[in-house]
Amino acid sequence: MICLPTIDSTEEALNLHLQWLDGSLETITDDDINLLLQTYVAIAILHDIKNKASSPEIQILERIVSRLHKLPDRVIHSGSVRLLALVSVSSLRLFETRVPAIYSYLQFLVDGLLDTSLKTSPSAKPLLFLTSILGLNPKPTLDIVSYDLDLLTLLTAKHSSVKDTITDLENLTVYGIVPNFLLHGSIDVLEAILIERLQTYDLEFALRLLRLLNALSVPNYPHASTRYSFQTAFNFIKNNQHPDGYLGFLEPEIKLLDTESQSHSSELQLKLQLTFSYLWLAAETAKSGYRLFRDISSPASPP
Amino acid sequence: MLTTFESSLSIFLDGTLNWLTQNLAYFNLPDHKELIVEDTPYVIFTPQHKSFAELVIACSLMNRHSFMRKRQEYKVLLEHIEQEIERSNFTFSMFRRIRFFYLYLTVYSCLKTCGTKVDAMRVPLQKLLNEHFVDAEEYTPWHQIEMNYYAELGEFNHRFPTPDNAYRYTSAFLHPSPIHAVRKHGYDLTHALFYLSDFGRQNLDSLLKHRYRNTCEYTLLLLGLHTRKHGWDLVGELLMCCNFLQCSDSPLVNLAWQGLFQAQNPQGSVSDRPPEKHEEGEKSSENPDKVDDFTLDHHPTLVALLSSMSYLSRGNIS
Repeated sequence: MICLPTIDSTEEALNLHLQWLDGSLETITDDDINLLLQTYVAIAILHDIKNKASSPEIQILERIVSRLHKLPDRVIHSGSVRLLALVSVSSLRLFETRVPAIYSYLQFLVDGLLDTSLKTSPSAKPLLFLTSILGLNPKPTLDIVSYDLDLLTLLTAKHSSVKDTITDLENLTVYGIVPNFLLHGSIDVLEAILIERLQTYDLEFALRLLRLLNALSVPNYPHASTRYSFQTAFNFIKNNQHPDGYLGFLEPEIKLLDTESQSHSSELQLKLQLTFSYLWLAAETAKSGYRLFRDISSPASPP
Repeated sequence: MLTTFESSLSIFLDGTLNWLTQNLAYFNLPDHKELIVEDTPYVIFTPQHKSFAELVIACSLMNRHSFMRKRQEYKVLLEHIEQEIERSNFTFSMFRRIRFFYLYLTVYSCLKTCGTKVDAMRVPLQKLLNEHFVDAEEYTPWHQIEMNYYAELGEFNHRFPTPDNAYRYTSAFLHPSPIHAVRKHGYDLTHALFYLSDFGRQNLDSLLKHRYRNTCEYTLLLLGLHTRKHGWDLVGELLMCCNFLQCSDSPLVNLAWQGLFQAQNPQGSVSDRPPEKHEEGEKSSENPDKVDDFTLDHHPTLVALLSSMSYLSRGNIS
């Protein structure tokens, strides 16, 4: 079969994403809780992008929530904490529903975190922000981020170091919520890294960079999303929606998984991670001011 | 009074000149009388010819600046070129070597600007042009602009397309997506900009018009990309282009220069290869490795010289 890229992320492209996500749900077992949670968040994002009170997304989300209610604690505890918190915020806002097992697990984790010095670490910020929406802890202080970047080191560093820096920035800004002021030149450096990653078809990291760039402020500098590299990269990624609905033409990566005797869930995880990551970016660029960690399923989210 | 940046540039430039003069013997030419043409209509344009032509071009650009003309190294380089032309019987049987036309044309035109006597080449070159082959065959758009540039520089009658016509088909106008671009595409851009700007003498905004800002942004993006990839040869060329485009106030320019300063070897050369390969090369003092070093280093070093020179001259050091 010849696979031609679809054109862009118009409503048709979004519906194709939804179809694929809905279809994938049937193949996700209860033990694959992270796949289930990530699918939930991806569909919640689609709902936010479309911004319609009743939509096919809502029905699918309700189905997932009922599945979550039935999961044993053992499975819940193997889930990604941030995904559990995102799903909890969304289901509270959409259905005024709490999944008790998830709530008590999050409460347990938050209490433990607040008792340690880790509570002020950058990596705790996104979780504490989400759990504060759930009323599990006071809202963490979100001071303006001023990050001391060594631009030459970042520009010429190995990918693993770049990854660490980007993770720091994501945490410190709570994925773009906290106002931030970076050095003149940060955007240029991140753009160069962005293009380099796309040359190696590292869509996942490129999507993280695009989200970060979209949220950065550099005084007296045009917003990153209006710049050539951002638009070129975004268009390239949009063109990489597979006709089946997920993001990416991933044959080489899937082949690699096969040789490593990975299961069906690894392939799905690969496709789902990219699709989720793309929809996250699509929402934050399509809806001015929208930030997933603050606005997921919020009725007051920006139009 | 030099700024800290200019002082660093100055030291960097000294290093490149030192390496070039130390390795001058490698910028040589084969004896053109020895080149066989009986079996084939085409003699082969070798890497030796290429590096020699690059040295000649570099000298013609150095000659533009009094602070470079005054330097002993410049005189040594030019003297070496003149000796090599003589020793290699460079103008021997020019009519049978039409594939050397580019070489003849650049060497003639560049040396003419340096005030070197190369009159013996003028008539054969014009006759070759009059045969309507060299200015009628197909070239890539930037190469058309390059040929036009050297033909104009040498004051020849020719039919190469004017830059105004050819530039709309170059990367300087079309900006091929950097996601798919490889190094070759970077060189397409730099060479178009070199010749369109007459190496910084012509303001590009009147030619690029509404594409001017986009071209600056595109060039800077490639500069960042190749700095990230440690592609110092292309970084040197892109730095020159940023200077010619007058967008060298971007933070990326400063970062690229810092990277280039760090990439300079203690002997003054700039290597455009992975660090591990370079370390291997340095371990051995055998001559073949030395030739290999020269093959890999001579172009990035020449580019580094020209780039630092162009930034120093922008600071009005004359």
